[in-house]
Amino acid sequence: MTAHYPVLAVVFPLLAGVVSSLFPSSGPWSRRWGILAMFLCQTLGLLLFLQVLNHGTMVYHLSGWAPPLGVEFKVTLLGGFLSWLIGLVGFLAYVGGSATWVHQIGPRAPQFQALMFVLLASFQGLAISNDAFNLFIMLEVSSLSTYGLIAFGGGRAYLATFQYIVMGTIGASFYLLGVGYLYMKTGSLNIDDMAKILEALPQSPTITIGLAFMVIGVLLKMAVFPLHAWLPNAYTYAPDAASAQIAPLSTKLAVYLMFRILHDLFLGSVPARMPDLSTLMVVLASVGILAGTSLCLAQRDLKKTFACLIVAEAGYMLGGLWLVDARGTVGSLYHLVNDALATLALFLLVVAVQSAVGGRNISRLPGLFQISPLTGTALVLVGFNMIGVPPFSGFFSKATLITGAISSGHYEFVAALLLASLGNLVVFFRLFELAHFQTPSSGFQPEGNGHHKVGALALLIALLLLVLGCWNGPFMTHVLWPVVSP
Amino acid sequence: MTLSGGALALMVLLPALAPLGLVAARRTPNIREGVSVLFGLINLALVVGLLGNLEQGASLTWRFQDLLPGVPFLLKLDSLGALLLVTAGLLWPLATLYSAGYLRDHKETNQTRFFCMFCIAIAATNGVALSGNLLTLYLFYEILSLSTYPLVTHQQTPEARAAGRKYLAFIMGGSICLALPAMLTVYTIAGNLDFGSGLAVWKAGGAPAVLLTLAFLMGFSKAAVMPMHAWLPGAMVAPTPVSALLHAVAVVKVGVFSVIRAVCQVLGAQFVLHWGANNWVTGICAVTIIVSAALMVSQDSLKRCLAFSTIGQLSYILMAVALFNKDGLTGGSLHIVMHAFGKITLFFCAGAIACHAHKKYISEFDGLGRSMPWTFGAFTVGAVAIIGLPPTGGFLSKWLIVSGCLKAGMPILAIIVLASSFLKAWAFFRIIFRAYLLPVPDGEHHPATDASMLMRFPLTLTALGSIVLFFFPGPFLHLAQNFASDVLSIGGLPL
Repeated sequence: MTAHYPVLAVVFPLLAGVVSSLFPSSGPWSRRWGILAMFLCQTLGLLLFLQVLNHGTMVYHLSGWAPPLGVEFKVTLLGGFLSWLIGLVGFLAYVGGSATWVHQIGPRAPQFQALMFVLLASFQGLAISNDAFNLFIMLEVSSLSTYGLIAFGGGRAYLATFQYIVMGTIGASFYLLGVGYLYMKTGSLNIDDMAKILEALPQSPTITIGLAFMVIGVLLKMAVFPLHAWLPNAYTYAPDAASAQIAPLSTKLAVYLMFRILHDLFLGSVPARMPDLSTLMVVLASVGILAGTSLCLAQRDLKKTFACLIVAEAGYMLGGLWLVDARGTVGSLYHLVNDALATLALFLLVVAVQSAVGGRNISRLPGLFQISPLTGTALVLVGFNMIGVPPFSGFFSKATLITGAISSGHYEFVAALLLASLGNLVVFFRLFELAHFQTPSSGFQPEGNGHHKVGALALLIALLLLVLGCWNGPFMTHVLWPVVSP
Repeated sequence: MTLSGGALALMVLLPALAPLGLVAARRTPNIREGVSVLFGLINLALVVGLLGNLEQGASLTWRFQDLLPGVPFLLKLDSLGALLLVTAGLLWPLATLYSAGYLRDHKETNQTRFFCMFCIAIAATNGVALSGNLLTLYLFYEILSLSTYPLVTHQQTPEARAAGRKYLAFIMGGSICLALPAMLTVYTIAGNLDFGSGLAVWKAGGAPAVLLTLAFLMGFSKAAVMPMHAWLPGAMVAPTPVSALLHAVAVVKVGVFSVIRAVCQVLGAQFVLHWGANNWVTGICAVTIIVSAALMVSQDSLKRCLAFSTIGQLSYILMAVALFNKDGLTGGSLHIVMHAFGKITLFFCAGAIACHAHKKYISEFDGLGRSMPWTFGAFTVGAVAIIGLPPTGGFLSKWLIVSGCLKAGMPILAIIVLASSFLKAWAFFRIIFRAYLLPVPDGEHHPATDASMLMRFPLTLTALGSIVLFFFPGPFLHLAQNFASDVLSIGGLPL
């Protein structure tokens, strides 16, 4: 049984999705099944992580075909942790978003739920698959289920979905083309095997082009400025339950893919092979951070503000990975975990705010603190995390990234990170001021106490961020450093 | 009494947990304030216990795991920390009593929030005082910045909001954009952020060393060195108890304290002196001293006048410390305590006047001294302490500062200190003269009685404290001397 955890992590959500689609309508049983299955996914992820933590990397050969011919799942320490994180975020997002289903999804809930599970399965695959082509499949599955989930939003979501389809397809195709070029050189698709062969090969135009295609494809998926245009609208107009599910992890797993390409496929040789590319990427990341933050400052829709924040955060992680400094890489991966949880909290806050004050334009925020103190407090704490106040994890990821940037001499990246912190300060204190200083303007009365529950969930996640920050030392030493420099 | 390292953690946790009690007792103000004062007294008892331990030479530490590799969360008590700790500890219960009187007289809203944030700010101040390395200090510094924001904006008026924005822009902007990168640069070079070791004289040259020093000086902008001072006069929109304990004692002293820690104990005397970075610090502080004294004379609002005085006094401390000689270091660190007692008295008086006589502007004070004898008596003592005249504690620290300037071979600095003291004397005696000697204007009705007991008691006590400190400066002087020899022994400099 234990040996089959890796494949179960992927197959179980897939099957759960199939079962979900069998429910006739959005009755309570469909919902109960959803909660149960999500919880089981989370538990499976946790078991997988504990297994890897205690017994080291796990390898699983699908149908018993040994690599390099067969498809291999390889669960590293970080992969196992991500698998748990995916399960956890999925579960919390499901619980937090379930209140919005009645209004936003309606009778098609079983289909919606099925897509959600398919998305989760593909995320798990992205975290643990060790096959370049299989990773492409998982990337496509995640994109396809995301298109479906976003389109459930109706109205403006259709156009946003179409934009995303165009950009997402280009991204995936680029990645596939890149894999094709490398396959031409290596004749293999297993990442470890490819890495071994590539190591012996001298730099050639084929490898350069292959790498370039892969990197650009992943950059699109990461939504790094200026390839970000699809993201803000897609996430804003998606149903709240869907965006809470998609936003925390989608771009983060693309970051992880980028890490795999640099670290596992090219074994850290990219800077030596193409010295200018690293600098270019860090500059791109710095520009992206500033652009993302500026976009964020220009928004008046709470959800879009947070969506633009994701664009800026993608820059943090991209820059960290390309700093050519182990601390940068560790900082980037740590930021990935931190940002997944923080983004989840932010998108749950959108749900809570909407049900507390009846809208998500920031002009509705006045009075939030009085109506829903838990939501208000959660907003403050998550805001502190985004600004980078110690001892929240957001501070330590930023500090580690800055340390890496200083020791590799990339001062432009340092400046971008600091300015982004200031930008976030403005973004969040503008929200705090509105939520705190002014009395409610509209006569909106919240229905029930759903906003308290979602607010409490967001508060819980904010406290998780605090814990992650206080225990960042052990986390980095035991989970991240062994992966980055064994 | 012997205490273990856990007592240090308790010093931080205790005030941080006080809000739980306050929120529980929010419906009954008397119990709420009682709880607040009780926490203050327990805190004070702990401080006294810790001081006893320090006297016996016991070194207390409390560590949690690493926050960054090689940089643990570390609490540690030393002489400089004890100075800040005991100052905040002595004044907190008095300020709480005073706040109770002030808020009730003023009929302020959200009183529970006020007291909660006040406690958290004190917890953060204790944390800064006890921090064993720069990262821990930075952590508490930021908590202090954020916990005082709701206090500055307490009245929730557009004016308070604007002041809050300015406050954040300067304080958080400075700490994020200057202090943080400077700290991480040091960390990258040295691999740790401990106090005491100091950086080896760095090969990269003078300009980066000066930049690093200035980044700390400006980045810890709570120290209000020009041009990072502008938040302080703005923050005077806060209720007066906040201005009194936080913006005259806790917050601004934390700023000065952080700069001292960073410059003297993280960069180290050797490093700073080798590149001449200390001359930049003394220069900037000297300019701040003289400009702020001049601005002080021209203010009509009493609180703004006091704010500019604070800016100048903070720069005395930093200038004296940056001289890196025994008198300068002793006088500078001693001034943390001496200034605190004087300035809090003045703010208490300003609050009592605003609250009881509804006067905020100096030009309205004519003849007020005769109807509020206790308040103006204390005001006079506080003013004497700030000007630096005997028989108040302020005289001792200023004496040492001037002597430090002379011993460093910079008589010009001594002249600046004396000139600014003269300007201060002018500014304060102008007020005292009006209050006691000018007749009450026609049609003006001053209150017949002095301020309420809850306000009068603390301000009398702090004024007496200022005088007591002149006659019995022993324990504080001892701590300040210890600090001076710590810094100089690391730098390998003659005592």
